[in-house]
Amino acid sequence: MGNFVRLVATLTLIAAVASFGLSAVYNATHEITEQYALEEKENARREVLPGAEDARFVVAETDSIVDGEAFVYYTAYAGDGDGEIVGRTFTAYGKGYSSTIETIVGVDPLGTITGIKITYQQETPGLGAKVNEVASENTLWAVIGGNAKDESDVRPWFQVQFRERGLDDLVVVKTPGENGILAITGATISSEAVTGSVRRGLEMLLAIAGVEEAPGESAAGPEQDGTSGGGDAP
Amino acid sequence: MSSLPELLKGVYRENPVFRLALGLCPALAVSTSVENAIGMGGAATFVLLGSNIVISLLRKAIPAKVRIPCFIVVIASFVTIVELVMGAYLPELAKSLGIFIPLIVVNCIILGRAEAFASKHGIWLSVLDAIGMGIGFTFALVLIASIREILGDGKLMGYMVFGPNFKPMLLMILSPGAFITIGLLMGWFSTLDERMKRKAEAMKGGAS
Amino acid sequence: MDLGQLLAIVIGAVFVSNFVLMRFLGLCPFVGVSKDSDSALGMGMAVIFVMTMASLVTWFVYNYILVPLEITYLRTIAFILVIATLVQFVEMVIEKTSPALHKSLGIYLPLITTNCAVLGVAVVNVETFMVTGLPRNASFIYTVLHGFSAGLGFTLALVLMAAIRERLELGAVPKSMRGIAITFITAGLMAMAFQGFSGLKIG
Repeated sequence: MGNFVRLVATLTLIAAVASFGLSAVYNATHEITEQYALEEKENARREVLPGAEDARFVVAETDSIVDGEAFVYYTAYAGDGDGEIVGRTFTAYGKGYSSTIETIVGVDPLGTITGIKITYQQETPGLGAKVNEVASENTLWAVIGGNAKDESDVRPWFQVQFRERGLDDLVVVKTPGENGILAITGATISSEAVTGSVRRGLEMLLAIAGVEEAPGESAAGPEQDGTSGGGDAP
Repeated sequence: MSSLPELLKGVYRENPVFRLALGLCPALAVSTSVENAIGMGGAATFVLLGSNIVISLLRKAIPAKVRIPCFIVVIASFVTIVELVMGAYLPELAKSLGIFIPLIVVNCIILGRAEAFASKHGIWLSVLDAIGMGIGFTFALVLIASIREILGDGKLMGYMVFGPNFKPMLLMILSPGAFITIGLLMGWFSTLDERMKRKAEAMKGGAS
Repeated sequence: MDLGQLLAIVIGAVFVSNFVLMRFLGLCPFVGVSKDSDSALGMGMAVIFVMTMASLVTWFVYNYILVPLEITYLRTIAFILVIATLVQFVEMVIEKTSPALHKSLGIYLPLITTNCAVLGVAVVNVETFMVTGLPRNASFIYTVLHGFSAGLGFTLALVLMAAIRERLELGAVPKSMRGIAITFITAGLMAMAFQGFSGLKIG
């Protein structure tokens, strides 16, 4: 009996010490982790909306469901107070080959995409993961020799394609030159996932938030409120 | 036991991946790029070191009957530390390694060394054993990853090796490439072994 | 929750994302126990049971203990202890009901604890079904179904490999490739075949 007590006591003691130790480590680290996640999202939002570096973002949560998630979007107001709307952003969720791809999309007040940034993907390396691939010109030898070009602001080519696209352009095509989003060779599923989710999100955003009329043009897109001047967010 | 062989045995003679066939899951899953391989190797070595030290310290206090659950709690604690710290300070690496970070806890190398070595030896030797095995594991991972990354993606550490017009052998970076690479490497190590044995025999025969 | 989604989970775990050949989980028993079909099948059955039960129990542990107490960072420890206990239990049952199987599985039975596939499926379940916005009962059913299917996929790969290795024994394999090396090459060829499932899209 004494032996049994000793067995249980040892295991419990080790488990207790472990738990204390771990909660200490957790307390020390989880704020940093959460902070990083928040900053990453915020930086992505500013990145996809050129001109929104100093803008004030206001979140709008809706009850609409897009791709299984409640649709949330951000409106960027210039300066402070009710400045003009620089644009809006939302997160798109697309079911890829081996993961749900998360993309932050920036949309200008006319309903055109200003840029996208893929913030999460676990697709196949060398294939679907190429959605995040930067077309680098540096070789290993250049890096070793110290001649590497600074490519810190080169964006992945697949994502750059989305700039200045409207709703009608968000179709995957396989041949360069066709109008649409060029798929990654051999990674159609991942390409479709991103494009489709961006399209569905954009549809929902335009339906909810409407679109401005450009001066002298009629409003684009199949949405309700095509007002001029400041857009409206419900 | 002298120190240096203890340290080096993990690298070649008792390499955990190629000889003892331990730690195979991460060896194949994480070796898609050398960067990931080094990250995983470092993380696993940290856990191995931590758990070997603690288990060696406690070896006289842990009753034999509950030793496996105790070892598991110790190992899992160090793995959780790695999860938390990596999540905070190396978030991109944590994202790349994905579920294989928590899976370090079932990396047979760690439980294997705890059971076979740390629970029977003093701290200093356990530390050496951990470092040696960790280096060996990392070496194996980096070897596999270099082959797969260079042939399968045309890159090393994310930088192109053959220039932008190289058409890589995609298979290498996918699952079959992993199996084939490690199979061929194991066969190669086995051949090396045979040769060294024959040489040793020949020298012995010549000397007598 | 519809039949299409359930079917997608099963087909996904057995073929498209086969735990052994595509996800690299469960490799130690895969190369260790696949020498003959009978013990491969026995091991497979044990793993299916453990993986299903582990998925079930860890679902409860995660949703009713870890989340309410806000200690989800302890999931690795909690899960592995649950699995270790389950495996102890399975070992006792097999010893009582089929000593022959117990003998042939040998050391590999308690090693199911360290089978990355079991902890792996528990962790994948958390990431796929529990941290997303699924309703409670859907996440439970998907989790258990996924655990079962993953075990099924593991068994399929294991039995296939055993069948091939039994014939390989009679073949002329170069000396240095014998044993584990040729097993991996074979696994690579099997993985190539399974890679063909990657275009399969359901639902």
